[in-house]
Amino acid sequence: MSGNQDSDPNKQKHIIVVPLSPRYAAGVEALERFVYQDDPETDDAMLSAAKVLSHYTVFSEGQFVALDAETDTVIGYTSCMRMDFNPAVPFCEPWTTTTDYG
Amino acid sequence: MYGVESIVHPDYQGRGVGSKLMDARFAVLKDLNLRGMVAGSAIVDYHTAAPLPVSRYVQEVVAGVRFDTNLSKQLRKGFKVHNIIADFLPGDETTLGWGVTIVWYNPDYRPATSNNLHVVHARSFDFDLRPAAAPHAG
Repeated sequence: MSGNQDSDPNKQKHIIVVPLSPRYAAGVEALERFVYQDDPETDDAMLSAAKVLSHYTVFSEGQFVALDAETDTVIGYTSCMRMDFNPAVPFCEPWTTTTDYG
Repeated sequence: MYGVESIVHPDYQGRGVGSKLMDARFAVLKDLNLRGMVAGSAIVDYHTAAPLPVSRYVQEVVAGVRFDTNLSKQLRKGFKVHNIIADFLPGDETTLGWGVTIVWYNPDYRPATSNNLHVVHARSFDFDLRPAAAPHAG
C-alpha cells in the first residue's frame, strides 16, 4: 500500500469504522470502481452496490465501512461471510468455486 | 468467517485503515464465538522475485526475510499461511496469478457446550431516525 504524501497537519482527516448500512452501498461500489479502475457490471470479481446489499442481507454483522468523517465518504470497506472451513481438510476445489466469487 | 473483500482508497492508505477494518472483523468473530477466519491473500510483490519458486517466496515472507506489501501485514495481524493457491488471480501481473490461503485462529474460541452462554456485545449502529408520530387530536 502506498503512503499518503500530504504533510499538512491541517489536513489530518478523521476516519471512522462503522458497521455497513444500506445507504453506503453506492459509496462502496464507487470505491471499488476507483480502486480497481474497472466496472462491476462487466467484472464479476468486483462488488456492485447490489452485491454489497446482498452481503448485508446474508450476514450484516460481517460488513464494515471506513468513512472520512468530514465528508461522510466511503474510503474503505471490508466484507466477510460465514463458512465451514476445516483446516485439516483444505480446499479441494478452486478458491473461486468455494467462495462463489464472494 | 472468510474474508470476501477488503479495500482502502489510495489517498487514505498508510494510515492504518486496513488494520482497523481487520480489527472490526476480529471483534465480530469473537462476539459470535467463531473458530477463526480464512481468507485468500494476494502476494502482490511476487512479481519482483520471480522466477523464484512461489513456495520459496512465501517461506521467505513468513520468515521475515522478505517483505510482501499485502501478506506481511496480514501475518503481523496474526494470520498463518495454510496453503498456496494457484490461479488465485489469473492474469494478474503483480501476483503472477498466485495467492495464499491464510487463517486466523480465534484465541477466545470456546467449543459449544450445554453450559455455554452466547454473549453478543452491543455495537455502534448507524441508522436513520424516523420522524416522531404526531400526537392525537384532543
